[in-house]
Amino acid sequence: KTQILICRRVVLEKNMVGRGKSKQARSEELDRISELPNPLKSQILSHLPTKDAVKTSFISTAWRSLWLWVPQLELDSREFADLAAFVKFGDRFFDLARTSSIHKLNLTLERNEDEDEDEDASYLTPWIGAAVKRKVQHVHFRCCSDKYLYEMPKSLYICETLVSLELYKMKLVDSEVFSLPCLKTLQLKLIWYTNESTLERLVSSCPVLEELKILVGWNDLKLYRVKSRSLKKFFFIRTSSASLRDSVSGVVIDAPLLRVMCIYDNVSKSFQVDNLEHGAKLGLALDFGLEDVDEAGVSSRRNRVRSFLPGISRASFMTIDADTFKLIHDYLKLEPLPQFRYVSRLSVTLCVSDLKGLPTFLESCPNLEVLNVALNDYEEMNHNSFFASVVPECLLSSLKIVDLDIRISGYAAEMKLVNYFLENSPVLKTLALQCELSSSCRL
Amino acid sequence: AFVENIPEIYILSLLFFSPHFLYLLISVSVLTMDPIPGLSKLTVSSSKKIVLNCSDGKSFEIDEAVARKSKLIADMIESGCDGPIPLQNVTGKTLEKVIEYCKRHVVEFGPSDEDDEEAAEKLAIWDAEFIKVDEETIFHLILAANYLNIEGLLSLTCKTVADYIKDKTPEEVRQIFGIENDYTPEEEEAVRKENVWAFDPNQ
Repeated sequence: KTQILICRRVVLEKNMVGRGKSKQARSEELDRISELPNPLKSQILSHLPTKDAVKTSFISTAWRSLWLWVPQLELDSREFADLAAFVKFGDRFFDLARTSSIHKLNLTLERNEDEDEDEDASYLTPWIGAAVKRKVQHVHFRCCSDKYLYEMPKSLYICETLVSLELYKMKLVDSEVFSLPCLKTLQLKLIWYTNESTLERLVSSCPVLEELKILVGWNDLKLYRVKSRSLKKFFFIRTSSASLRDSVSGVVIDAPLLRVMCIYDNVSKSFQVDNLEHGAKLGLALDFGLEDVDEAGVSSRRNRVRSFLPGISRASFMTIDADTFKLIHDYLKLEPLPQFRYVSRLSVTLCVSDLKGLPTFLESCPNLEVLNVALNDYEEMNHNSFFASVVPECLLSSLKIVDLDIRISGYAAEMKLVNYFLENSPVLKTLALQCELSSSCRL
Repeated sequence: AFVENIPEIYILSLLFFSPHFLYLLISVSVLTMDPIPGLSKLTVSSSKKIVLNCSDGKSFEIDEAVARKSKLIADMIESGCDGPIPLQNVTGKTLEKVIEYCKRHVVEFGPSDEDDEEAAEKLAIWDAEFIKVDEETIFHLILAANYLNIEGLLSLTCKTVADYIKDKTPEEVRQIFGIENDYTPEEEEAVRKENVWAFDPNQ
């Protein structure tokens, strides 16, 4: 008997299945978990995925309905035998008689294209209505169908408790009223808007919105306008491999508190950034919708680039990809750049053919302290790749750290670039070289 | 250093016989700014102490900041409760463990730890060690954390129990916790039918 008791004091390991206890031993154990009041049992279940919580209904009669009290629900309609079974199951959770609060709702919805359109979507409206009444805070909807988009029920537009919303492939219809006083995070991926101003009005109705992520579909040609007094982080992705010559799409962003902005866009033909304050970190990969970034193309976009650049001139950190730098390099041949007075950290990826533009660009960053340069193509440098044409002020006074990711094959050309920094930067503390050394190289 | 190495019991007995020694120790503490181990309960300190009385007669004195981790106690302090706080629903053994948790999790004033990933990681490791206790203690901690309204501890303890349930069949869960299956065969069938999605072996 003593031995069995000692067994019980052993620290609980995860693999406790099949301890093979005798019947006598089992009757000595207290069923402590069943002694917990139901709200605490449900609290334990709330740390499990919905499926595991539902499985506990099978344990004993006391556990049968506990999963219904768990304040979160994660369902995937694809896991059910058919849509009817999925709706029937969800209806139990969203039953109007239930009033316990819902914290998190995560639904993956698939539409069978054979089924009747009107019939199908109707279940979502009472579900969202119930969720809003029960003070839902986090909603994540993902639709898997391309042909038919689920429409987001309007009752979610006035959810007073919503803190984060993530939608993938849904339709947002316009509404008279938008009011989301607690929404902090909004992610809209491949969303179809019935009205061009819907997004703008939605964002403006979120007084505490901090993070906004937008992923735009390839066939969406709208002008995206975002205006927010509270927004801190903005991510915008809009890419297409198809040529969209006739689009007039663009992005306008006005957010005085913005701290992070990343734009990865090869479709939009214009960008406008208003009220960006210093301290912001930017990541830019954009080409103003040009199929080929060359002098002719950039010349045609000259005005738009000119109105874009001052908007970002107060950034503190900038990361620029090769196409964007190429655009800037070609633009520099036409017009001067505004001063990026606050830029202290710059990360540039560029092609060998654009290296020549680097010193001129650095002239616009008088207070630069950290510079990362990476070459993104395998074209080798030659004597004409780089000239120490000018020595910008930042090299002389502020540049402390330089990190070069270039392919050193031992030719003098690369050393020209390295020496450019070594010789001209009195305050330089660190010059890091990341290179692939070929066998014939001598440093 | 001499003072630091004296075991607590000797210090207490010395104090009993020599009030002047207390004065000496306090001044040493103040001068060196080092808390003398074993004397923390007697050292003059600026933060207020709260006394907690357990159901089995034990008494604990802790800093107010630590006590405030419990929303129940914080509310009582706010509404003017000055003297010792009676906690009828918690035993001494459990409360000791609860206090250990609260002490480690007291937010210290200083630069925001929001982005401090390293500190968060260390705390998580401490939590994982802290919760390695037997079944009886875990359930006592759940009840105590719920009664005292300590969000972090309740979450930690519930998650630990949930981890025993995760990925197990209902029969396995019954075995682990010693739960008796009181379904009739007809009821079992009904439950299985209405929740067939969760039991589908294909998933």
